[in-house]
Amino acid sequence: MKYTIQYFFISVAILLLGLQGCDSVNVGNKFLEKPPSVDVTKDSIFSKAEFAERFLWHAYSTLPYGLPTGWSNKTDELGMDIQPSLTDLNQSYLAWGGINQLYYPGQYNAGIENGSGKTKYSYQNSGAWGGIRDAYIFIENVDRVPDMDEQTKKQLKAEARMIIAVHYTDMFRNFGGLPWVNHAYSPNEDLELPRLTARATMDSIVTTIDKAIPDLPWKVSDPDNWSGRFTQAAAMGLKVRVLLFGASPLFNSSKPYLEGEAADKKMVWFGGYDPNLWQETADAAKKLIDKVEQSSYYGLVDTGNPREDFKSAYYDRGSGEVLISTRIRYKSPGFWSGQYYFYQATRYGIACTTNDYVRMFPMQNGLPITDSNSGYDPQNPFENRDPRLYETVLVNGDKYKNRKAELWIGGRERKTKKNHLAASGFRMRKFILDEKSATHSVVQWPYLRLSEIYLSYAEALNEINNGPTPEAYQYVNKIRNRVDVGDLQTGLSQKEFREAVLKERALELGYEKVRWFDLIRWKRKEDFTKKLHGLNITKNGDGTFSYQTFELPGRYWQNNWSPKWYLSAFPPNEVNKGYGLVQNPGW
Amino acid sequence: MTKNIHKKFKVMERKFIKISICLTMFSLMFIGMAKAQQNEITGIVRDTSGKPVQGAIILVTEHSDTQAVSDKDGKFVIDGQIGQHVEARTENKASGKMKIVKPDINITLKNGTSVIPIGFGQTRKVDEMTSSVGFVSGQKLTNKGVINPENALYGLIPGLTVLQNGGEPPTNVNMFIRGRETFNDNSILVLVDGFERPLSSLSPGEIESITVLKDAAALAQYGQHGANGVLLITTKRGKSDELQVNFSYDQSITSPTRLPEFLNSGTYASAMNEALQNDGLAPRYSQAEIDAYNSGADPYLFPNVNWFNQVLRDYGNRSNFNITFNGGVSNAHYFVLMNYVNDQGLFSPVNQNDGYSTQLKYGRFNFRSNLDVNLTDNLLFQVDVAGNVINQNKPKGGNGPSQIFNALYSIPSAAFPVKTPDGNWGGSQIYGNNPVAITSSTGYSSPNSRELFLDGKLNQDLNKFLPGLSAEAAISYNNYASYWESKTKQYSYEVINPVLDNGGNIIDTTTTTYGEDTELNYWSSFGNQRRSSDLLGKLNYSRNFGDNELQSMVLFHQNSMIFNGQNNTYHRRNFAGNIHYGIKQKYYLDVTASYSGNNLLPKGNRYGIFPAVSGAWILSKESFLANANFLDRLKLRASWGMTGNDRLPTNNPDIQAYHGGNGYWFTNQNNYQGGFVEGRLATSNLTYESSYKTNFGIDAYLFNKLALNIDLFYAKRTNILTNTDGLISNVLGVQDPLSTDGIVENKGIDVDLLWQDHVGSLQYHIGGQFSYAKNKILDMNEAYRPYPYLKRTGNSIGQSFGLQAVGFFKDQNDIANSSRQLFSEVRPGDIKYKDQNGDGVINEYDEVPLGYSTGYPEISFSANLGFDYKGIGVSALFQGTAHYNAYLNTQSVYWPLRANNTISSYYYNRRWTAANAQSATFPRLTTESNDNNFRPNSIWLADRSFVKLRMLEVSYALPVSFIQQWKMNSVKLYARGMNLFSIDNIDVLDPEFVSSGYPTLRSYNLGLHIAF
Repeated sequence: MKYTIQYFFISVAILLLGLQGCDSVNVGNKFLEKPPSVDVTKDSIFSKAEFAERFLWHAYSTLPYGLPTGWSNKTDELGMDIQPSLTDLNQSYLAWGGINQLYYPGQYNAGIENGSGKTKYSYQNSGAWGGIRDAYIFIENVDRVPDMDEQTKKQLKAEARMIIAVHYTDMFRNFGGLPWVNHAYSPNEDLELPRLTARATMDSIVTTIDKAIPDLPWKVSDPDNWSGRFTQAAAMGLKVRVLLFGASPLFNSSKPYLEGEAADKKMVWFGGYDPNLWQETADAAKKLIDKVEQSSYYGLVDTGNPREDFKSAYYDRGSGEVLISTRIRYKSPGFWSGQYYFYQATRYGIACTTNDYVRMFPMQNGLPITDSNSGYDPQNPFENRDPRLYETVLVNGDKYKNRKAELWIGGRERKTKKNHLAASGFRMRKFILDEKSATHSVVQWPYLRLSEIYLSYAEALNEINNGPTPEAYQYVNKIRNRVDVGDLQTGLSQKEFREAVLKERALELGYEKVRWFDLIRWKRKEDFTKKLHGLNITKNGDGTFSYQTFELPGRYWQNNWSPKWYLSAFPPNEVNKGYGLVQNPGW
Repeated sequence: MTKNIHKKFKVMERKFIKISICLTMFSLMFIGMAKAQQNEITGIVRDTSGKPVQGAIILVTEHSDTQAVSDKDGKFVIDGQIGQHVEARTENKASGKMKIVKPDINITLKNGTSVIPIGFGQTRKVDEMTSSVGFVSGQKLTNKGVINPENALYGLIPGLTVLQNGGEPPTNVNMFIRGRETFNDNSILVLVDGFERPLSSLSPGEIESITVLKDAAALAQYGQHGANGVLLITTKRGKSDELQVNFSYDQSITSPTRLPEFLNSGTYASAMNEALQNDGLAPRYSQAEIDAYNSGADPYLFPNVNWFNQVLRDYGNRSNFNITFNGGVSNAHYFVLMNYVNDQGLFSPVNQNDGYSTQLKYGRFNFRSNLDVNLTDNLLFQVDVAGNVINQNKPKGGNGPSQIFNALYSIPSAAFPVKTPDGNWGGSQIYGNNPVAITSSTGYSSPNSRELFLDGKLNQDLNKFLPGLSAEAAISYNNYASYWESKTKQYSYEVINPVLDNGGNIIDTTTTTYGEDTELNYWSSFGNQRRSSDLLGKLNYSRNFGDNELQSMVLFHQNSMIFNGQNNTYHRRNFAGNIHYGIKQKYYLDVTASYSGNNLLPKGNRYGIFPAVSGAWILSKESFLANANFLDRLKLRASWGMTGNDRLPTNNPDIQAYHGGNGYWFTNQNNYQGGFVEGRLATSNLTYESSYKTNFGIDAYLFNKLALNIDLFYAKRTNILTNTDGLISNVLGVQDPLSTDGIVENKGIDVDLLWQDHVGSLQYHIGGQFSYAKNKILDMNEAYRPYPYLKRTGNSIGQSFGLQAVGFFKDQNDIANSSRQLFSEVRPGDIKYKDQNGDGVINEYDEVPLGYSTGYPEISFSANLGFDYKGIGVSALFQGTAHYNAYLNTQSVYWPLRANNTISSYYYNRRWTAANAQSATFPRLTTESNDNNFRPNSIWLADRSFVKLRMLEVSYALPVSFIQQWKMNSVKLYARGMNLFSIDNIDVLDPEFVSSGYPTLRSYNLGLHIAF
């Protein structure tokens, strides 16, 4: 018996040791080693061209996209609303978005920038800083990739620089001078990053672009697979956009738009008027235009079918007109998809065009509707108008879903007066098309188009020469003639021509996030404070329509204007971290 | 694949059961069948001064379920035999033990001589302790009528706060030792026989004792793993040479402590109309419809369903069988336990399907076989085999009970009938879930799990080499696996649509059917797995030198735990030592140190040194107190030391990780270029949290009746990992690293009081415990806050913040004349807030600290009382908390109607209307999301303090003389109630469980306990 017990215990002991053995009893220091992990390291990424490129592709994914499409910080800017609703072009009825919660009622203040993702550009949430960091990490590490040739490395670095430049361009236009990040910071590094002057910021952006230009290919060689990558034309175009913004009176002026510490430190203006900036803008534009005209790839889409051409110009991928496009998907997944909810947002009220915008579109013959010779018929207000109207705004009676659009009160697009789909009497058509053909279609955001460059060139020429030159007319008319709209009236004064160009930009580039920056760079207080209108259309018994304009819901700044609205506030949390950020004036 | 896994699992399961049965049988081989003659032993219990002690509990060590109590002359009678041992104990931890050499004996009770485990197999006499520990014997767990030992710990040990957490078995609890000291993982270390294992894996009957280690002197030996406090569980071992069998059977019925009541359909309809009217919207129900709901004449078109009554029966039931064998031969002893519990839940109907029930069932089989064998005269070998098998059944796959309760807490009584006239399930398109249908007609799932614990220990006496020296070695292996099987199906439901005539009268109905009835669909998966193993080596050296005594040890311990999933392997290693030195049995000094490390910390930075020093002085033994007769014992303790917490809030924060991330859509086709993205920046200088703990204690025993322990503590914890986003600019462009900047201090008091006396033959005791622990965040890298009152730093961890309500808006005038509230448009009856910063608007900046944390109480207390009169016993345990808040956001109960929820009568009776604006305590009814009202504020942050009667027991022990004819040693019958009532401010829901889910339960138990 006693031996049985002992054998039993010995076998149990062996069993236990055996089980222990499964987990390998490490007696030495190895015991506390971490088991190998499958996590990737920086070294493994930059050990192979394919992985290194994927790091850059991720940086591409941080690029700004102009429509609300998803729940991420980047794709839900303004909380499902769109920035054009801040301008005179569009009115938003989306109750829960940033436009109606913060901007229209005047609730926006610096504190909002701390947490809310509902502002027009969030210093913390936009993802710009992440994109810039990714680009620098790529630039700093790509040289050690063994299986990549020097030429490719140069080109990819230039593309990374463009990602930095695009993010800084957008921040520059929303905030003015910025802290300049010039490398990827390590965790232990001191983050002393004082805010640069507005001029130094612009110069840094231009330098970054200039560095990229020579290493970029003029065009994407294999657009089927790689459209959307940065090209030389893209870089030259971005430079025009940055310079034009800088040359404009908001920054390039004899006095700041508002006094304050940031103004004293020249962070929100250039400290004086420098006419050369207009020349630099024109030169940059001319350089690009010349090269475009010498080569065959780029140009306005012009097949002789004005409406289709205009749509194709902003909508279709890989056209020679879009210089920079950004994407978040290949195709939109469907109307109710949460992964691309822009279409739904338009039904909740973000897409109500103002009658004031509709009235800006001239007649097909080029004359403004206010001109007595224009042929404008107030009883048939949407007839014979600039074709761009029909592709930008859904107007009553235009073709829609294989029928006619019904925007009268009670019609299918505006069943009730307050129907958020078209509460102003109009609905945005750009990007939405007729809903059905937009969903499941190729998705891109036309960040920068060649037509903008033409108009910027015309605008700069007008400023340099204190009045329009024939060349200035030529490039405005180029835009108009593509849609068969008659030439601009000749003999305009400098001011009249300037107004004509700004209007042309609104007509051509509506809903493409251009108007807001046009209004602020020209400090157009009157466009912010004017009353805006909608149009009530009623269908009469005999099938005709009556039209009655009405005032749209007011905006706080219409009666309480302050120039502080030109630039956004920095989040106080960031200001208070004490690395050198100075709050913008008025906030 | 799954089938294969399933098969494998089944094979494993069979093997596992076989092995356990073999081992158990083997232990039973030792059971000697002969039963020695029992004699009546009589004796007298005296204290050290020779006075008889009344009320001492007497037991025979070898069969500890036989108990007697000494009478006023200190006399007792107990069954025992020559050669066994008699122990006497009082509640205040005085004890004495004697071997029986003749049928009458005298026992002298020595204060503080009971011995309690203090970790790593060490034990210490209470008198000699210099550290702060709490202790409870296993007996106090078995009379709680619970199946999970965690639920037996409410209010038992000062400094250990135990909170209930819903009623779905196995009802795991939240435990805190001295509150919170970190905003990261604060979970305590639970050790069963020295190795890390869940307490809930055991059954109460196998637990000999539980020790709670609280101060640095007690915790330092656990090094990096001890700072949150340690719960030491010691299991029972064989003591007697003869077989003792204990059998108990407990049958209980369970019922919900509280269930909310929702409005009947007529009142619901008018409440809905009121809400719509408040929102400026058109009413949904006409008066005729409301009348129809009220009349109940048409239960199909105008139903009035009490969904709780439809889905829950009044009582669930639970059985608990427990049998233990304890015995052995001269050189081998065993303790064997088998425990089976079966719990049937509250759902009904559950038997509408052939072949299976959809009841919530929990069946658990626990076994334990602890064997001690003296292989030689000075070599002791211990082998412990324990484990459990759990089989559960739940309605519907996956989250059945929670989905049912979600439906119960949202679907109005007016929504639809349970079944339509055609016998189909009722439903509507707004409310897809018919609670009765989900309960009975969506199949079931059965989560199953197995757990195995294996320990082997050797203890070699090395007196031969050096008197007082011994060596120990131990290994352990633990394995847990769970496996889920589901058989689920879908049901179809029918919606009844009225057909109206021109006058709006209902002339007919049509029905539409949605969904489809499907066959059972099989699905299975592995759940969790974990395995762990330990290796321990230890040298002990204990000697007495004249008046001085020395106990010391050094040990090496390494532990490896592996959970499924990446980065889930934990290796820990510990070198520790302790020297305990006593002089003249009056002065004691302990020095403890640990050098411990783990694999979570970066290389080169893995180890830390954790020292502690503590001392005790027994004043009552000093000559200057010799005349203080009332003072039976008085001891002062003090300790200081350091211990660590290595539980990191995330995996590998010190490693800079990169992972797959968003790529880009360059191509003109639907495949995109993948991306890599940089993860959170690596934490530099990653280290463990260091807790510096100071403790002062007083232990006293007065008038031979009153035991008193008081502990005061102060702890400061540093190196707590915390975010740096408040410091580092966003310009960085990547998630900020964590830093080890966090600092929290924690201070408080634990008090334990027990009065024990008798009146004639009536023995009684009354005791109370009180714990207070208040922490304060000293540093958390907090982001800038524009107003000082918004700061979290300086407050307690988890401090609630919210808006201060000052009433409800009376009318539009009131709104116009008040500060603007920026959350949503306000109307009369909405909550009006205080403008804390006077900036004229109410926004997030007006949130102030309100009350306390919603996560844990600062104060917990308990009271226990009982008496025993000639075998009839009554005992009761109350537990309470204070400085504790609840956030009342339970759907329908507190936040009604919005998002198609229903409304409780509790809310309805307290809502704001223009008529009762003065007495209302809740805002107006609304159907909108109303961000103004439904956000953290003083209305929803309610006082969660409570006092609960956790246990009330009435028992009767049959006279020994009567039961001896059946060869029984003791027979006890009892009736118990658990969670019988709660006194609190929450009223409609259990203050410990204010969410919608399976409710906390009350139970009524009847039981029988027999010892042979």
